[in-house]
Parts: sequence; C-alpha cells; structure tokens
Amino acid sequence: MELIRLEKSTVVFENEGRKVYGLKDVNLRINEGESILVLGESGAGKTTFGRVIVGLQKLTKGKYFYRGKDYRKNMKLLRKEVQYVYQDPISALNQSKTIRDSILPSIKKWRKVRGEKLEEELDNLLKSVEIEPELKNRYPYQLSGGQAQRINIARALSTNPRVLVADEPVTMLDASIRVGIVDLLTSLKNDRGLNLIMITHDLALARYVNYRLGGMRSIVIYGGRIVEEGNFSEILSDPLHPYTKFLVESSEDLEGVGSQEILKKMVYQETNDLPLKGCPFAPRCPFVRDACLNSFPEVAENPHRVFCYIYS
Amino acid sequence: MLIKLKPFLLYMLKWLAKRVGFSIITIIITIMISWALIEYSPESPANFINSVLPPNSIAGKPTLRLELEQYLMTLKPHGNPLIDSLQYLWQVLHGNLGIDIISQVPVTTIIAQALPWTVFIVTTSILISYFLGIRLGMKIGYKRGTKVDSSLMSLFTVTRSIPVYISGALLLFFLGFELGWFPTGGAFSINVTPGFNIPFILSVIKHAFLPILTLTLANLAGWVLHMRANTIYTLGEDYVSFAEIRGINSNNIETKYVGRNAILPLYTSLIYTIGFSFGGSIFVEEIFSYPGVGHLLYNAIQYNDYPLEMGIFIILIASVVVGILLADLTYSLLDPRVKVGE
Repeated sequence: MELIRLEKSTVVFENEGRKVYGLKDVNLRINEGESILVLGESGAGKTTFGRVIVGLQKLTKGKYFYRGKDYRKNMKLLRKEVQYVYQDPISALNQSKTIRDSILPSIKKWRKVRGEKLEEELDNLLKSVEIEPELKNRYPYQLSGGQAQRINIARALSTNPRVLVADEPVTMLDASIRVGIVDLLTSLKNDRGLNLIMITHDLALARYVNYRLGGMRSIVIYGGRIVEEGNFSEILSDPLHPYTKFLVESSEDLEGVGSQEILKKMVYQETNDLPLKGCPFAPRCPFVRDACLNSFPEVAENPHRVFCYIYS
Repeated sequence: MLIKLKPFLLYMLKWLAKRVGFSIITIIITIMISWALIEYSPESPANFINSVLPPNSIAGKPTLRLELEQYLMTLKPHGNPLIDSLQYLWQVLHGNLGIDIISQVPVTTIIAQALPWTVFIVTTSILISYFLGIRLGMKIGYKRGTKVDSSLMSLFTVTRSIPVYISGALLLFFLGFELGWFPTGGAFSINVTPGFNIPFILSVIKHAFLPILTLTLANLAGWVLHMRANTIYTLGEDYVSFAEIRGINSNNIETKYVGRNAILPLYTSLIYTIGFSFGGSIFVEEIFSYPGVGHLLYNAIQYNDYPLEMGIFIILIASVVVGILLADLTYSLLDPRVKVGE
C-alpha cells in the first residue's frame, strides 16, 4: 500500500529577489510500513523535505499525495497521522505550558478519551518513552535535553501517528544520550509499525539506525534534488554520485579530506551559490562537464539509482 | 509536603523583605535628593512675587516678601542639605507635606483633591489602549506582509509621532469648541452636585472623554507596534509550528501559544506605565484644564511653589517604585521560567 507519493515536488524560496530551491523535482514513493533515511549536509533541503511531508511547507510546484489524496485536501488525516520530531527539543516546547498541558490537548483531540482516562493515557504515553509520569507537571526549562526530546516524541505519538518524521533528532544532544533516543525511535518503529523517516547529516548515526532496523532505503539530497537513492549499505559501500562519495569520505575521516586535493575541492564554500540550472553540485564537483551546467541528468541504475552524467 | 513548604515560605519572605526594603530605600534617597535640589535652587517663590506683582500692590508689599522669605528659611533651618532633607523626610513620615505657598492650604489636601481625577483618566486610558492595542497588534501580526499590515503600520507610526499637545489641542478645538460636543474644561459641570448620582457621573464621563481619548490615542500606537513585533516573533517559534502539526485548532494556537507568550514583555511595560503616569499627564491636563495632578504640577513649577512641587514628586517617586516592585513580584505568575526560589 502506497502511503506517500511525491511527484516533481518543488519548493522555491525567494529572498530579496534571489531564488533558491528548497526542493526541486523530487519524485518519491514510500509504502506503508517502510522507513527511509534522508541524508545530506545542512542546507541540502532535508528539513524542507521533512516540512513538506508533515504539511507545514506548501509546494510551489508539483504534487504530494498522502494515501492517494492531494495533501491540501487531506489535511485532517495528515495532522493525525504524520508527526514531526525536531532537532531542538527545548524550543519545540511551549515555555509557558507544563508537559501535561502541552500533550493533553492532542490526546483529547485525536484519541477521543475523556475524564480520568485522559491522565492514564498521558502516563502510559510518558512511560512508553521512558519518562517518569511525575515529570508531567514540570515546565520545559526544568528538563534536560534528553528528557525534552523524549517528551517531544511522546507529544508526537499523542495523535497515534502512522508516520514519524525525525529531523536530526539527536544532533543537539550529548553523545552519551544519543544512542538512547535512537534506540527509543527504532523500537517505537518496531512496536507500533511506524513509518520512520529519519533525516540526518550524520552517517555514523544513519549507520546505527540501519543496523537496528536493517536494510533501509535511503535517499541522498543535495540542493533540493535527490542525487542518489538505494539501499543504505549499498550506498555506503559503493557511493556513486561525487557528492555521496564526498559525504562518505568525510564522515569516515576528516584528515583524509584535508589531505586529498580532489576532496578538498568538494568542501562547501560560503561563496558557492547553488545554480538554478543543471546539477546543483556542479560548482563543487571535480568531475564537472558541460552537460552538468545545463541540465540535470536522467536517472541511471548502476546498480542503484543515481543522477549523474558520469553514469548516463 | 509541610516540611518542604516551610523553608520555601521562609525563603519567599526573605526575598520579599529584601525587595520591599530596597524599594523603600530607593524612595527615601530619591525624596531626599529631590528635596535638596529644589530647596537649594536659586529660584524662589519670593522672586516670582517680586517680579510679577507691582511693588505697591498689597501682595507685592516688601513686608509680605520678607514674611515669605522667613517662612522659606524655616524649611531649611540648618543650612545643610543632608540634615534639612532628613528633617523634611521626618515631616513626610508624619504625613506633613507643608503648606502650599500660594493658597496657604496644606499640600496633602490639595493633592488629595487632584489625585483621583488623574488616576481616573490615566488608568482608564492606559487600560483601554493596552487591551485594544494587544488585540489589534496581534491581528496585524497575523496579517504580516499584507497591505492591511503595511497601511496600519504606517498609520500607527504616524499617530505615535504626534505629540499629545498637538492631538489634544486639535481634539479640543474641533470636538470641544467647533462642534461643541464636549465641554472644554473642568472635571464636571457646575450645575451638578458631586456625589453618587447619575447626572454627576454622566457629567464626569463627558468631561473626561476628551482627555481620555487623547491619552488613549497617544498610547495605543505604542502597544500595537510592540505587540505586532512580538506576535511575529512568536509565530516563528518552533512550538507554534508543532501545535499546528498536531492539529490544535487555530483559535487555541492564537490565544494559548502565540498570545500568551507574545504578551509577556508587554505586561511589565503596562505596570511601569501605570506607575509613571501617577504624576499626571501635564500636557493633557493643562490643555483640557483638567484639575488633576499634572495641572497642579504645572502651576506649582510656574510659581516656584516648593512644598507643592515636592508633594507631587513624592507621589510620582512612590508610584514608579511601587509599580516596578509590583511588576517584579507578579511577573512570575505569568512566566513560569521566572519563579522565586529557583
């Protein structure tokens, strides 16, 4: 069963007359029960992708179908079934509300429970993210980062969602509590049959998620475009697109990036403006050819999907 | 629970005592400094009488001037600002603010007559402009970037820049003199008997209408612009997006997520503003000949009427300090991040 389908989805941001693509012609299908990893560096369009999936970001062009229906006509279902966990756990909580008051409204709205059952439901929800129910009367500023992120996950689960978009869920947390949060997310995926959409720049984290869930599909995004798509372990062991290669190399060992001339060229420069035409990676790509500057390549299967003129 | 409560209460009391203590010290020091500055200034009511009244008139008699100067000397018998101001403070603590030089009536009596009028027009106008301002500011904030937003923004920026003595004079001229809809001076008509009766209350409202309108217009723009900015800032906060994602209805988001947080900085300003305004709004009360504290202060300064000036300054100082103290004490009720004892 198809759950999510993006067709030529495009988001354009305009800033002082300058156009930037948040997403450009993204085609993607996610089936029920399927989880994916979304990889890319900051500014690549990962967060825009997440915001489109949860319905926060309107598409400029293209289509987004949720359960076969256009997202704009399916907002109610989207609000119930697609939830979001964000990288900054504290700012995601309303500072003037207690945890209880933050979570209760959506339990009331979507789970249709009333009265004493409500508190019970809340307590169970908190227990399911390994938070002591006594903490529910606290305010966000009284929580640690890890606790706050668990509360955010509980709040996202309060609507009984089918899809959980986790946008860099552990980036702002200490290394020592990251694994705990990721374990929680993956076990929730298994227990509830959630579709987990894990967005991250951190390949080590992606590797761990893939290890826990096994055989995950992943997409690599750059400049709002999907540049490579396939099984995560395949992408990791055999990256095809120059950008993916760079991503994999630099995640393994920064010294290697610093010492190799070819990799140094690919390092992001603040002056690199994303081109509106052709391949967005062209200005950084050491293998750039004329074609790259004019048009974006068709997909090549070699052995997984990649969008690069080297392979077509 | 009880065991926990006791040290907390103690801590609260200690904290409260400290804050109140500091406020009292602030009031005392400010009163002493103001008194010394006024009393030891080269200006004197005697100078005024000398220069304005012809020497041969009864009031301008040299004997009267001498008498006045002698009276003034009794206010600073030691010739030492510190000791004299302490003595003044001692008198103030006994409720004695001295005798008004011009009218020969105790200062406390004069202020007690004027203060209610000022409190009435100033608090009414501040509360109206505040509640109107936050509603409007929030609506405009929600419509940011639209034509409604930009045109209202320019309108309020213009009205904010118009001083009260211009808008007040214009309102007085058109609505008071030209159209005759409102009286042009005083706090109530001479035809009504003061007391709790309907003609008197109606007369008071009619007389206060223009001063309140002028002050409301002057304050409104500030609240609107401030609230608009806060609303736009709060709308960009992550938790607002998250409420939207969870399908919380938009009215709820507007009041409990956006409004609730955007209003916080304005709450403190509200309490301050009320505190500051007890000194009266000099221009407005003068334009509308409204018998409030501002009107009194204006006259007192004109005649170098020291005891009256000082009396009004004490009201002003106390209300500002108490306002700040109140804002501090009550802020934690609104913002849970600011809690006593944590």
